[in-house]
Amino acid sequence: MNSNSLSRFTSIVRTTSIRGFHDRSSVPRVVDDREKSSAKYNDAGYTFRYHQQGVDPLPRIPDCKVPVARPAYKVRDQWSDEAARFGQNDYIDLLGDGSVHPAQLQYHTPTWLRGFPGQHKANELIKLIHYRNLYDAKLKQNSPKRWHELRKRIKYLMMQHNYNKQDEIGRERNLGLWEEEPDYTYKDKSRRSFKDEIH
Amino acid sequence: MLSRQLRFLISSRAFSSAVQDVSSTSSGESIDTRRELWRKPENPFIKTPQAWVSNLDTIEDEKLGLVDLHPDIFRTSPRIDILHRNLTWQSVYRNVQMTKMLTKAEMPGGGRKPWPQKKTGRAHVGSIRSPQFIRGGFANGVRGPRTWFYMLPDAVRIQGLCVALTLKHTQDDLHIVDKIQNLQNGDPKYWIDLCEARNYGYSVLFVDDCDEISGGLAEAQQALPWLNVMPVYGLNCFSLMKYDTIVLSRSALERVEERLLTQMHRAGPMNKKYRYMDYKDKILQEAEAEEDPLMPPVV
Repeated sequence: MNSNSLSRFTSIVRTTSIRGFHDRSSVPRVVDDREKSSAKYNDAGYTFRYHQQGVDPLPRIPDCKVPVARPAYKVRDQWSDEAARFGQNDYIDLLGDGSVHPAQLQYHTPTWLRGFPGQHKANELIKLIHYRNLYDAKLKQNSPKRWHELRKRIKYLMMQHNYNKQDEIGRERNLGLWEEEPDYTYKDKSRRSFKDEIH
Repeated sequence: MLSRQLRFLISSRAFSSAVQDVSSTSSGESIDTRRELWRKPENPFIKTPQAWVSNLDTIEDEKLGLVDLHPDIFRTSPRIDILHRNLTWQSVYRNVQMTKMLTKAEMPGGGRKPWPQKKTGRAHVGSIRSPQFIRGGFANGVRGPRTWFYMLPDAVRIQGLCVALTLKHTQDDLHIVDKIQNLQNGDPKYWIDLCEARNYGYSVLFVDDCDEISGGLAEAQQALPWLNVMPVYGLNCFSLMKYDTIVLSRSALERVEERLLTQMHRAGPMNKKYRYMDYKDKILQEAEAEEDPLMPPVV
């Protein structure tokens, strides 16, 4: 009697402790095949190898002649014309006659970003404000959708930096984009009002 | 080899006869050994480094004389950390990333609620462009053209150049020749033999004062990828480290010393901050030709 009840108990434990994937549905859902509602996946084909050193070989189909897809092998020539002269004009402002600066020679970057501090200094918000300051009229006139998206992004980033990332706000005057000190003598506040657009 | 000769020279300094022997072995032409060094440090413990001046007209190395090099440039303390800052800056500051991952707002469509909020058993979503959707927008993606531009302070860049030149000189990889322009022999085989005979290593960089070169070296430079010529203003830490041997012409040596000493002793702060404000007008003015008259740049 006692042993019988114990065996029934263990069998219950065994059925409920089958290891399976996480499944929060307590109700059997309606599915196309009724086997599916009860037969759950509990094995992904992975065997644990805690005490085995090294790396397992990757799964391959035996005798498969199709080569595994991989990026094409690229030969990089360290002495090609560009590579041999890499960094040639980086010190031109010191060693040259002083008329050229390396910031002017960044011909591979978009024009509005040449010499602009990188994103580790000037974050995306400041970069977009710079873009808007240069191209606002053109955007509004010829590409209104992008103008709208730009405004939305700037507005979102403003909120982000005002409420969530306030640590980056104070640095903007330190970037050399604007004067360090605001112009306190500018007194014409007559046109300012709460209706002004704040982007 | 050079160090052995230098050591021989230094040990023979005490005997004037030995010095005369050395000068008599050089091929008759007199190269001014003692140059007037501008603002040479007064410290008696600082030795003046010297280098042989040789000729590129023959395959074998013929010494024409010795020149004094400025100790502030060719005998600085080897600050590898500063050199490393320079190399890092050079490899990084020109990088641009043009990838732009669109946000939910910038993807087309997605204005309609795909299914009702409740009673479907599915997730509560408001748009098919939400970031959890495949083919949805990206939250915290890579945004737009991203640059890593920054300028190292002038003091660090100048010191980096001095450290690189010092290292090259102490490792016997800095050679000085009387002239580079208008050499007779442009045969690549001649230059290969020359570099082999003088033990120049795999790659050689010739530096000249003038930014146009003519004569034999120009032809050889076209044929041999590991042999290159640079003007003085093109000199930089990366190339100084990349090439096994640096060969300065006599005028280039004068010019490098003049430029570096001018920068070192200039008036004003050495750590002057780079400000975009100062260069903005010039850069945008230069770029006006690239601008489209109507459309703003896409990116």
